[in-house]
Amino acid sequence: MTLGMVMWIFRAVHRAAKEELENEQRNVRAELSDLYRQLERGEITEEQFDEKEGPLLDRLESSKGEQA
Amino acid sequence: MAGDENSNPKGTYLYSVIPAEAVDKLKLDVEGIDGAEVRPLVCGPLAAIVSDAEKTELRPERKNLSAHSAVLRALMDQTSLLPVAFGVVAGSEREVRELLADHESEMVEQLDGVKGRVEMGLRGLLRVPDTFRYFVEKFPDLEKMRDETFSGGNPSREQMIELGQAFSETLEQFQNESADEAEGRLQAVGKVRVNDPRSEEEALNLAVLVPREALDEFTRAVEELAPNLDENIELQVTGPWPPYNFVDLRIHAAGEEEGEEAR
Repeated sequence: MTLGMVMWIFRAVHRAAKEELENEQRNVRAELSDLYRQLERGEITEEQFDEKEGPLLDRLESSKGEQA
Repeated sequence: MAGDENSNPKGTYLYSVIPAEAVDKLKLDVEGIDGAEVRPLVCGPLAAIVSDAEKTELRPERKNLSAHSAVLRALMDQTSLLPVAFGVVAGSEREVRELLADHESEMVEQLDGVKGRVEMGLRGLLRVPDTFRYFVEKFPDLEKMRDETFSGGNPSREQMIELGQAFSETLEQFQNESADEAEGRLQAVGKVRVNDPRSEEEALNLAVLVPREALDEFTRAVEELAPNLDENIELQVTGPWPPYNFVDLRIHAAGEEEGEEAR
């Protein structure tokens, strides 16, 4: 099961977000990584990060709910 | 607890893959996710950088993303590396070893490709108060269309949509041309990857894989690029970063279903 995740691991996160992403959860995970990358690079502010992080984490939770 | 021999980790968290030869000199005095000890796991010519994980799934929240990134940055100063995307927890050390063994040749090849090189980011931001107005002034075709659209008083919804489309096309063309100009000048320094701009304001967004000894050359190329772009484009350089944009291993694991819900 864990090895199932292997497929996306070496892919750059950016592009992972755009290309053949398999499901909502991966989408959201990639978006969050990408968002952090933007924060790290000074492309967005702390406030902008915080503003977007909450809703993305909520989306992640709810997609897990649907899957269960 | 970090480094506690008696704890029973749920899994092995994977940060990166590096050449095994780099392990001897490696200093890993950086904390991993949840403060866990970060260690190398050698397997043939490769080594995985891992830590014990108490959960099989990690929440992609800031604290965790930041720990992951800190480990990559610590590695980057010491060795060439393949950055692994956030959140990969293998079931055990054995699973990580198997993964490395199964993909040894691809990983070795990818490592060779990034050896001695770092990723630099370059963004160009169009600093104007109103992008639409600026484009109308800059591109006569768009101006003509705007004037025609508003010539008979209130334009119809359809006319507005058409104008909007013309604006989008002009913007896209402007972004493409800016990126092409940048790519043309920077590819002498290193491999270039052009990313899609994220907003109207972003005229270009690209990553360049620069040999460490050519970092000055990269800076000069950026300086020479500036006057060849729209005068309102402000260039921002970031880096060096791990080669996020230049590692492209396509690993398909058994039991992985092709999904349909892409964005």
